[in-house]
Amino acid sequence: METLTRKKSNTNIGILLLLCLILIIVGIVNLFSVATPRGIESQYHSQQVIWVIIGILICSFFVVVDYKKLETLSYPLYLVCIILLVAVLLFGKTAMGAKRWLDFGIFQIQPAEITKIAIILSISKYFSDKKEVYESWPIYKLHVPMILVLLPFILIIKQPDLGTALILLLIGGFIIIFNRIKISHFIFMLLAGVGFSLLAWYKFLKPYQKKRIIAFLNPESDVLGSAYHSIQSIIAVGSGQMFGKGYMKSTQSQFSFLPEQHTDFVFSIFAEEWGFVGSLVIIIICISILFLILKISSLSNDIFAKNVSFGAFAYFFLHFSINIGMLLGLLPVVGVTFPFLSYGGSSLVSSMILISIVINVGVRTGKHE
Amino acid sequence: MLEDKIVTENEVRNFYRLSYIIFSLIVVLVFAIIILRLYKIQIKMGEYYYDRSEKNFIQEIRLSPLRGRILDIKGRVLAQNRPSFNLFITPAFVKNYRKTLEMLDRLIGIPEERFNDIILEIKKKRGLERFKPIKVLSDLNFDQVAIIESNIEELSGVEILMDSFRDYPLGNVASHILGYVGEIDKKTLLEKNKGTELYKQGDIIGKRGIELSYEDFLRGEEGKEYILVDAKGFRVDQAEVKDFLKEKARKIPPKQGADVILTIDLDYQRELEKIFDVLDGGLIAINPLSGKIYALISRPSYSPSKLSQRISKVEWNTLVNDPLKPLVNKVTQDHYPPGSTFKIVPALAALNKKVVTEHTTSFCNGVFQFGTRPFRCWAKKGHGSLSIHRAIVQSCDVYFYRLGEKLDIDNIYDYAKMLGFGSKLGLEIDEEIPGVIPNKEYYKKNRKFGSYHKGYAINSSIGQGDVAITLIQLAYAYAALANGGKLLKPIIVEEIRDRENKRLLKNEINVITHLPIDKNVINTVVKGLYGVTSEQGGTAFYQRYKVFGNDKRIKIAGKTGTAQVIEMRDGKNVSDAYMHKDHAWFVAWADVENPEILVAALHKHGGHGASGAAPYVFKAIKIFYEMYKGMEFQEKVSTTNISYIEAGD
Repeated sequence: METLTRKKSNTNIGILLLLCLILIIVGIVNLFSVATPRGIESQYHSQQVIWVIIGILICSFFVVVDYKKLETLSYPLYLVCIILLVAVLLFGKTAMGAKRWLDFGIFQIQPAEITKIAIILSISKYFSDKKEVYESWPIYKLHVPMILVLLPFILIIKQPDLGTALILLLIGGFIIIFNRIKISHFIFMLLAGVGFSLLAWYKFLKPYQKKRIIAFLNPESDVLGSAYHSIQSIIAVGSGQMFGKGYMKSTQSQFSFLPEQHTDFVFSIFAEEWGFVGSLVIIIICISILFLILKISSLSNDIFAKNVSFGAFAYFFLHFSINIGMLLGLLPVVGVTFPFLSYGGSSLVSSMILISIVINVGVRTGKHE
Repeated sequence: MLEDKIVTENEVRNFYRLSYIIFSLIVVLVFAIIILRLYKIQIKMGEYYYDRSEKNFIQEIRLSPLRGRILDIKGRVLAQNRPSFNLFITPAFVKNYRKTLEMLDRLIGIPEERFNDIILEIKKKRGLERFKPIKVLSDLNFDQVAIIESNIEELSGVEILMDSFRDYPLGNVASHILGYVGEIDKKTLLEKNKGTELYKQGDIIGKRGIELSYEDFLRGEEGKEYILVDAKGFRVDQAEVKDFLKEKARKIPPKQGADVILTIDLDYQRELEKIFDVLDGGLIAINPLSGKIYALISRPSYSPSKLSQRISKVEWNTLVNDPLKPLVNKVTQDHYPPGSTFKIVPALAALNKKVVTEHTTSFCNGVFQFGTRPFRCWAKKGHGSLSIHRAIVQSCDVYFYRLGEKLDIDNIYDYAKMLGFGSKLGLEIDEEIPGVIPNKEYYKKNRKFGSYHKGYAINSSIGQGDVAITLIQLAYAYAALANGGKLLKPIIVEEIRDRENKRLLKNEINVITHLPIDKNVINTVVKGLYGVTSEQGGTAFYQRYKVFGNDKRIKIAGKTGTAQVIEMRDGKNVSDAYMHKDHAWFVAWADVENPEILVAALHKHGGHGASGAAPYVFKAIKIFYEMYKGMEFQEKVSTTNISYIEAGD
């Protein structure tokens, strides 16, 4: 029984690693096309390579160290993240009207990205400590994980970075639901969420964020205004048709019609150049990654391990679906990256760390029981 | 850790099983939606979005063709194109309109009334329209261009673009022939396009004259160029991205408009413009054998160059409301009672219908009594006994009153129509007016009280009453007499050639009708018309003498006419003596035996035909023989010896 589980687990880990590697390579190759408008050589793809190397170095720590030890680091890491988030608000670098980065001279980091990992670790730790698994959780007992999520959520909203904040909220929510809260309480949470959203709409959302959501609801209303991103992205994706325009042939990126094409909209360009066929391949890889993580999570009998790898699943699921949904005009434009494909060190390294944690769990499944 | 909280592996597994199932289903559901959406966008609507993506960056630029030139018969340029510098503003790139315009005003000056118009025009633009440059000032001079260029750093959104500009190098010369151009108006746009995209708003189109009637030849064919632009509308270097244009032809060059070559001779036109210094009127010089026009003048003239530019409303209104109507072509678009010049009509009718013969005489005592109403001759003492020959020479009204009574109005009407009066002759510049030749039916329709009576015929026979003709009709009716009975179609365009010198059109002599009039009858009338200038007592004898003296080498046939200005007497400017004066007509051709030139002139409020119009016609004929036949005339004619009292008609 144990050896069978191990064997299964090892194959899963192998395929997961391979698929992530494929995505990383596709990402770099795609960045080369995306970030080279009309022959102007840019540094995005080569910088991304450097980030991959840095990521591998960091990941080796997360793979080698037993997740049991990582568990003990959960709360300290969470604390560090909160401090960093406050630091961003105080000393952060302002870009495009938002304070999101901390400048460390040679590199900049986005603490919000690391916070996602910290949240996954700390909530998992909380449920692991409780070990009350026989019954569904009543909502009033969930104040600790809720505070764990809401504190950084508010700090990130302040930056403002609606996309990341929402992802954070949803990751937290996913893990809480994963631990089986009562249906009636779930409904109460949903209602609270709606109430909160309404409050947010009138109190906290910046005008540009509101505009984006309105534009999403009626995209053709203002072609050059807020809906511009959404429409240009759909044009990019749609114009790829069945087999795409070919590598480096994206007109939407070549003529700069799609802003932020190297970060949030990187998959639009991919879809334009590689068409429906190429996009489908990437989507199948994404789905496979998600199911592999779920599988690894389900094979483990340790509650922390299950929760932490499920948290990784939530992270990837939310990023993949919200990003693609946004590019296809199914969701409003919020700043959510496509893991492994989008340019950016924080996003890439976070994704890599989460995969390492999943591998960590997979490798050690059955050892601690 | 408490004892009771230790759970078994199985319990853990069972507890989470439902969660895994639920989240697996969520993944399947969400990605199914995503794949369906992807399918819809890329496969079902792929072509549509492909088109949209092309329209994003491929911009179709219209290349305007260079308008054809207008040349005189010897190939000299009457209308051409010259480069002009125009100032454009692209609203999307302007930070502060008012500041920018104020700066432009400081630098080169912006007409006050344009200032707010420009701001309004810029503010009106929305969306993508804001990326299109708007023409704000046209035809800057080199100094202005230099000033703008040296300050261009501070004028974001402002640029100077070169365009071609319609240029009439001779100023006002031949203005009514050439016409002018301007921006197409909305109504014309719809008429011209008829669903096609031949013209676009802002295009230049002929508005009047040759520019209007030969628009289709002059315009040429528009070309197209496909250029690549980036998201901001900036032109992308074509060489870098030529792969993206594969499927579209890169450039279709425009086809230049064809040159219209007129029958006008610039030398002659210019000389006649110099001598025809009247305030209001028209003059036309033609070849009576071919119907080709040598010169055409309408007074007052206008500046085609100025009218082709963006002129202010105030300027335009001044032109339109000018009582002298400078925009109206007095040769083709204005009609008046022809006076005695019309006497050839009853003369031809009576002789041809044998109502009278060459030898029939009639007595004029200065008045013709018709019932209770006296019709007076212009010569109050009367002309005594005279034949039709002398009646023409002396322009005796009484003689023609009698002819009118005998012929009745419908005969006069028939012969007038035969000679081309009362209908458009088909000159291809501007819209001709037909004039009025009344018949019985006309009076039934137009006189509410009292029906037709012969008094109208009597009035018509001396070209008064309701008869109204245009100057061009007068010229071609007399040309028909000169050439022995052919009513010709006026020709002003000799030929049209494209830029490869291929002939697209050539105008040949075009006979409208061969007059069904006996040759001898025509000869009789022509002799009379010759007598007008050559016999003692001829109404234009003295005026001819003043120009040619005793030089009898050139035999000129002609006729004077005076149109009574009746309508003006109940007009507003009754006190204005000028407006009371009659209109003077004169038409003449030379040589009687070998017709080469026919000139007709209308001098509005010029007084008598002999003194008010004949001098210009004689001078024009004299210039013709000097210019083309190398003839020399006495510089100054002494008029001291002559003791002839000027005729009053």
